[in-house]
Amino acid sequence: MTAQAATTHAAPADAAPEATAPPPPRRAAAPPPLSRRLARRFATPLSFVFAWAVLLGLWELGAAAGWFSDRILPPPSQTIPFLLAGEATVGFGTQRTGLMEAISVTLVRISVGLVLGLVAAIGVAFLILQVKLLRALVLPIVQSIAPISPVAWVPFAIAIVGIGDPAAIFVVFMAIFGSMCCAAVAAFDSVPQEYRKVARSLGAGTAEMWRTVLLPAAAPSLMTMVRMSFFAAWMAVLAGEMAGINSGLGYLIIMGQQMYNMKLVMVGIIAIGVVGFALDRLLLVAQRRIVWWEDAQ
Amino acid sequence: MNVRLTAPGEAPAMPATRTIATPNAAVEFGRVTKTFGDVTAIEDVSLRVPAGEFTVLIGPSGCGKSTLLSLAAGLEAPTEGFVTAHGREVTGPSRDTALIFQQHNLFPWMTTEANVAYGLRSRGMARREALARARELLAMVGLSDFSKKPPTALSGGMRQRVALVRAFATEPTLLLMDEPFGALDHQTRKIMQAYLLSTWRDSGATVVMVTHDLDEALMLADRLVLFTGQPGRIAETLDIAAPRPRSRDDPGLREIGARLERHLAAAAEAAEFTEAERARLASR
Repeated sequence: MTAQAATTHAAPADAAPEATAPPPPRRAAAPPPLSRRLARRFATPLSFVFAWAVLLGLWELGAAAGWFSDRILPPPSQTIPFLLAGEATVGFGTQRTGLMEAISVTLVRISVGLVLGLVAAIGVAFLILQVKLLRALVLPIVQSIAPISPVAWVPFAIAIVGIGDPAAIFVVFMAIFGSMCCAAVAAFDSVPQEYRKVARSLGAGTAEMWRTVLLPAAAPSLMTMVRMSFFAAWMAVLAGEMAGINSGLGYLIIMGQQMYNMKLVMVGIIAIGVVGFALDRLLLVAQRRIVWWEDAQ
Repeated sequence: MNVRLTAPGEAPAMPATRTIATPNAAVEFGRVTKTFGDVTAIEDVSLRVPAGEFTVLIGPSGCGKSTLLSLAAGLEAPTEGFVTAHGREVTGPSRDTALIFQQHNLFPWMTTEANVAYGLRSRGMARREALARARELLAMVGLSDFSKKPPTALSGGMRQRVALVRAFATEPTLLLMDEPFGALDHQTRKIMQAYLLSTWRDSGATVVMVTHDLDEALMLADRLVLFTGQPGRIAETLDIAAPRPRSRDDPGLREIGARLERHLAAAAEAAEFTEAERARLASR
């Protein structure tokens, strides 16, 4: 059987190199209509303010109309002056601590616990991925620790390191370490095999693989995991502070309850909401900067 | 005689004379069997890939073609038999071997130039030098303007072009491609095929490519290896000596194409339907 030796029909479309004018990049699509862009830009902050204004207005109205007791649910007109006058304090004399101290004490505990938990979780996840035996030995333990309620650790924490910062940090750490570690293992496991194959065939060693492929590829999941853990850390530290670690925002609220000072409780709750929301937004900004190639929500 | 066919019965092993005649095999599979758990992906496959040639593996899905590439790349080890590259047994990934997949697998967290520089950096080249070389290589394929952009800013064809440049940057002697253009549209695919051919000719590398696309196989291959599944075995090997660029209207190629088409259709049907279903369909 013979094929034409020189079948140079030179089908030009086949052989021509790609035209010099490149197709437009995918990102540069036509901008969405103005109304949509405006909505995206302002809807969130505007609706945020509006929703709160409606709720607070109804609250004030309800208290004024006597639908509920203003001693149990103090309306904004009582809470805000109380907050601004700096009366949201607990303790007397030299032991007297204000709202700002309570916030900073709690925030330090959260931050230190979160950073320690993150480092430990990624470290243990690294070992679990690198050493097959550890996946069998360590991962089941981590998975068993994850669902334990952080408050359950409080007695241990107080017995071992006493009341105060170390106990609170320990509680935060225990609250987030297990779930963070499981999530980190899952994040590293789900890095596409092809990325690893490509990196290996391009000559990457183990250290380089972790630094340039596994960590960046898992970074979006890891950042989401940090934000989720931040909420868990808030809840854990407040629970701990209410259950015997006698300082911080949780303690402030529990003292408000014991002194039947609902304005104090309300101020504590507002502080938690405002600070928590602000920090989550900060984390979101950080997430968008760190994993710039992903579209974080 | 530009097209040499091996009779189906002659397969799977290459004739002995041929074995001796080509000692410069870039890759050699010697009676390779690979099983994953209970599944036998490939069974008793012997194949020599001569250095500098363009070999295309074609066959129904699930016939173990991709497994062969993984074995040649050193990402998997054979259950039985041996795999050598340039006369040495393959024990792990080699710096002389590059891999390309259907998905471009560019790292989205790196700029285009950093992606291309990745292999150079892994080989110890200084960062600035590697990036400069990457820009040079990108300029050669008309992508200068995109060197600082992330891969997400590129079109599908451009990304696959960058993946090719990244693979060729380290000047591999063996290029393993697993359906490299499978995700591209028809026109882009033809452009990429032409680009691949010219790059390959300049590099002198050995190419082993897996494809489902018969047309692509006929346009590119020096040698076509036809597989049956499952487990994967070599059904037939044939050399195509028609010079490039080839035409789709070449009667010799068309004849081979028609015959391979029938083979692939039968193999696909065998893979998709059970014996009983086929009997039921036939009785209608």
